[in-house]
Amino acid sequence: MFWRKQRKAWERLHPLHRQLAEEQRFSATLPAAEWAELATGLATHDQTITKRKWRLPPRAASVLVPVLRVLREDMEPGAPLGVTTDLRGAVVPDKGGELRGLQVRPPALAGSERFFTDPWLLVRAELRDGSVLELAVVDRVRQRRIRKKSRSGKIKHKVKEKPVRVVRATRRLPKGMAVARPAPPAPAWLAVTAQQKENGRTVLRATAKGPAHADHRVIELILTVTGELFRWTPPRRSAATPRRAR
Amino acid sequence: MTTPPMPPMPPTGPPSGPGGYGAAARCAMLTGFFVLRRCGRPAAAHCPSCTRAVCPEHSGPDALCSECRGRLAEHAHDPSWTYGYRRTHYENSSSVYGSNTWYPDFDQHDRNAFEAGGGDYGSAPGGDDWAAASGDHTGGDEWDGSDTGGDWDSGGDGLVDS
Ligand SMILES: [Zn+2]
Ligand SMILES: [Zn+2]
Repeated sequence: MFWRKQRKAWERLHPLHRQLAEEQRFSATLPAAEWAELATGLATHDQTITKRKWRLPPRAASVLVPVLRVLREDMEPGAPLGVTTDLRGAVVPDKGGELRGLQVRPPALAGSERFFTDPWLLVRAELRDGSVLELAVVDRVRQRRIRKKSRSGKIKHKVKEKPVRVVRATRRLPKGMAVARPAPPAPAWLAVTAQQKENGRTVLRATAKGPAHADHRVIELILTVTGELFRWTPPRRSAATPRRAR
Repeated sequence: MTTPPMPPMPPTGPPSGPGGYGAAARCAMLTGFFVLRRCGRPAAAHCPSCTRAVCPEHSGPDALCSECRGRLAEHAHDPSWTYGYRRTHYENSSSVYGSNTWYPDFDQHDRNAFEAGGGDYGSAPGGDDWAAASGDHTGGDEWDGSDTGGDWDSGGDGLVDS
């Protein structure tokens, strides 16, 4: 009886929701309003689905849901929102580069190094101010394997992983939208560029790179990096308070 | 941290006209996260906590407005979470930028306009852009994107490992 109910609840879920539980990844472009429904489904997953096999990856709740909620606020309901997410983790075979040998000294006997590149969240959103926002969260993990001989003569294998995270936001402004370098400037860890394109549009880009923090801090970082791009477009003043003349 | 002062209580007899509390009142909710705009839809109720006029979409089952509910929402599981987290985010930004003028300023500006009874948000829905930004944009700064880039201004998505 219980499992029949579970099965029914499962079948009612959005196809992308089920795909995320089964494959830990999906890629789709849907209207913003549909993503908002999906976010609600993901947020309440644990209340309806208890089967282990159908558990969602933790980043679904800690990162994906808040990102979808925030973007929905800045989009018209029918505007296209593209999300590509892969929450399998960085250290999976198809994300790994070439294996390189490392030079080692005793007591190490042999060592190798491999980099894994994990773009686990890519987003493209058409916002209601006419600008297009792109987000990319990419983890890069250096994995080192060392084989060494301990004092007692035993051979031991050691694996060390060092993850680095890059969060990048790009905002393509609509034609003619004014840009001004904000004050105070962005902190040093947040690199920003403003590029004037020949077609009269400006492209703003902000990038932060650093150690991969715990997942609950990712959302803060994503929003801080994104928020920087909105400091560059001054608020339109109302007629009652005209912009100060230069 | 001190709590911001409560807005004044509405007069007992609702005044009419744009920005007032009468039949013509518009929803006072500030929507959006980065692209901030007055909701501006016709209001149907007043929030019992902050007394502002709100449309049905921004009024919850408990009649609380989205912003007041958002303040109570601890997790993104709650749809009004963005309203509360928006404030937290802008306050955090103040520490990132070493300036405490960002959201509070904007909020104050917003409230002043509201109390003045008017201006932009009579035009529903949408109304004016309220892009969040720090106080003073005098413009005129030269920028060409050449002085901030470092490793990062390459357009591609290739990671630089250094
Ligand atoms: Zn309220
Ligand atoms: Zn409203």
